Amino acid sequence: MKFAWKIFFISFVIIILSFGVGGFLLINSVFTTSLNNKIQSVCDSNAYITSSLYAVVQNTSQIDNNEAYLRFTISNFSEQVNHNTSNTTVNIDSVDGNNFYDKDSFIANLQNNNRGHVIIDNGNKKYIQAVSKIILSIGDNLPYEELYYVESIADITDIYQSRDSYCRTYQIILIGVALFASILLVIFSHFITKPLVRLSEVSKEIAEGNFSKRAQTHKGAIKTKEIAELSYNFNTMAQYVEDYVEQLERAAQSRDDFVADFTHELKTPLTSVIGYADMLRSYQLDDAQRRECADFIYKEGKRLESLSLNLLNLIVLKNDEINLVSVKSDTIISETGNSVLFLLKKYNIQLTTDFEHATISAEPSLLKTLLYNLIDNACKASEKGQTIRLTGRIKDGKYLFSVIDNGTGIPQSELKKITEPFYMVDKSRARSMGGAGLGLALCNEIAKLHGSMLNIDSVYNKGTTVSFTTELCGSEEVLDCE
Amino acid sequence: MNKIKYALCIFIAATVTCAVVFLPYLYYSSIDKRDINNYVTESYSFESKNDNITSEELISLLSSDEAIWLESNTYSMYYDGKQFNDLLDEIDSAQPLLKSAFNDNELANMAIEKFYEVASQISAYKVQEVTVNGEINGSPISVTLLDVVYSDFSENGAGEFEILMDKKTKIVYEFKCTPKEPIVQDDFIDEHDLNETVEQNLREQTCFALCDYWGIEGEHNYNVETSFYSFYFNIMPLAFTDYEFNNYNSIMYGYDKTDSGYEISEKNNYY
Repeated sequence: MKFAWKIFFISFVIIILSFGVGGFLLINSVFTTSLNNKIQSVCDSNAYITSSLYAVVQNTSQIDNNEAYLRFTISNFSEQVNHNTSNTTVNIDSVDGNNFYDKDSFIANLQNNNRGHVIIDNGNKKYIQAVSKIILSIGDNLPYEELYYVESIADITDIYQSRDSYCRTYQIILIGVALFASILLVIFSHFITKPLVRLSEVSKEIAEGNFSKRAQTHKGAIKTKEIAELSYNFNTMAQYVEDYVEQLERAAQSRDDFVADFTHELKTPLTSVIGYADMLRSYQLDDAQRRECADFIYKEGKRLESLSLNLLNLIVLKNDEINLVSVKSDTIISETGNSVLFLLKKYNIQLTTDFEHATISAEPSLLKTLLYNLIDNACKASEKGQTIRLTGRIKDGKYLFSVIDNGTGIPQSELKKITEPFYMVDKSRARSMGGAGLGLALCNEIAKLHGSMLNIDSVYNKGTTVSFTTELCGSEEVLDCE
Repeated sequence: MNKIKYALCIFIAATVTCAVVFLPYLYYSSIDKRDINNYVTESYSFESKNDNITSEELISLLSSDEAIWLESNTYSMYYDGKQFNDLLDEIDSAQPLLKSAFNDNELANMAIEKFYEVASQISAYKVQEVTVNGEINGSPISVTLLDVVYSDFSENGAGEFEILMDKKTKIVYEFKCTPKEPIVQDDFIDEHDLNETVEQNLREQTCFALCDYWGIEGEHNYNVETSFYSFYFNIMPLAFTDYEFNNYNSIMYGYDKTDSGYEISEKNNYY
């Protein structure tokens, strides 16, 4: 069931119940008050008449044993009273007189000096009947006593007619209210739930893959604060999902590229190996040719070995945690400088070092590998005779390593992809130098293990600066180190 | 399933609406049956008022819309030996209290003396006996008031006289003495320089005396008109005959005392 209809039904029932019950209670209150007032009025009037009758008879009690006079006095009193009371009929009669409106009702059971009242319905009209039973005596010396009823009858049909009239009006108004409330509630419930319906439509579109779809949150479109907040939060969630999906897509693409690159890098040396092996197997070659073939097979085998080792390192580094120790920066830099002497000689490049003394937190062998690879890349990018600088500075509470060359540089568009595995800016050049595009990926992973990232700043044909940071050891740790 | 839910909700809404619309009829059909012929009784008792009614209570009773007035005896009486004397004795019984109330008021005393002097000489009266019945503070009260009116006709003019008194307490509530000649005597005229100030002083004395006589507060709305030619007072603002009593189409009746007791007789055409 739609939310709008739920709101409609619940509100409708509440409105009808509240209005109906409230109206009924009001009518009942008016009716009960009117009826009780009338009953009280008739009873009070009856009490007054009874009291007056008693006083009249007492006042004439000097006439002894005069039954006729008593009755005549009462008869006169009765007529006088009926002239006095316009809306109430008063009957005064002896018990044997049987001159009452409803002699079969409670009158027969009424005790002496008791008063009672009852509502009588004769079909067309309703009356309130109040009756007092009184002993009247006349005469002081020879008193004559007789039992009398004083009956007051008042027509209360108008009270009941008013009540019925109110009830009819109440019904008409209630039906009107029900119709009016239905129309208004249909409009209001749909108006209230409209933003939710829109939100639902947006979520449906997103579910169908349109991750760029957003709900309206601006003022005017949504006036309810809660709905606006919901829309805003929904949009935040949608943005997160969109970003995450994009990230997943990039990861999938990256994996595909990795597999393709890996396959390609694997295939190239294998093709050479297979070709030279087939040549050795199929042809009669002289010693020099055989040696040349074996040499190719060996080199390509070594290249495959290097490729597999680097891949292994990359996988291991991604999944492993390293044990960082305190080590002096000058130790790292000097040992790195020693290890790259072969490279510098091979590429005819000069290396200068410039560093501040500090104790850093690092895994020494991995850090040296990182610096070695960076210097190796710098050598590959540099022309013969150029100089590479290795610097170490304390900056913002960290130790910043930088490898600076004045080589070919990297185009800006390639910088983001440079740390991806198997990515090579100049593939032919890289392959000619024995590279497979795993060096910077490895370096980046090592930097990550040290809580940093490779920061590559390069100007094409001007040079490249690759830097990363390591944590500094505190003074206490320095003592430990020492 | 959804259609069933909608149908159920529509059914509930319609049922609630119908139930509320017809709620009064359903309720009253059962309540009316319960109330009709279901009687309620209570006991009561009268606390008879043994003391004489005070003037304040009489005023309250006369002013009440609920008071029941019964005219028990209205007739014209001509000179008739014993009955005539009985009536004279009745109105004369109010004289001592009245005189003592106006002890120092010469005008009042002269008017009272004039009233009774003429009364003994008149041969015809109009007599009206009325009981006013009701309740005061829950006690049944019945007061019998006697109103006697007579005129003194002669060639020189007519004098008007009226007395309204409580038969039991003998207190006069309305008194009128307008003789043919001035109330005041010649020697009074000789002693006093007759002017409005004297009349005003006599009126004020009358008012003070009446308040003591009736036992009411000064601010009560009684009616006093005094002059050297007429003396009138009334505990109510209107004359007794102007009260609601006269609007009733009452049956006037009385009783005659015979040798065997009292006999009821219709007096409608008595006079």
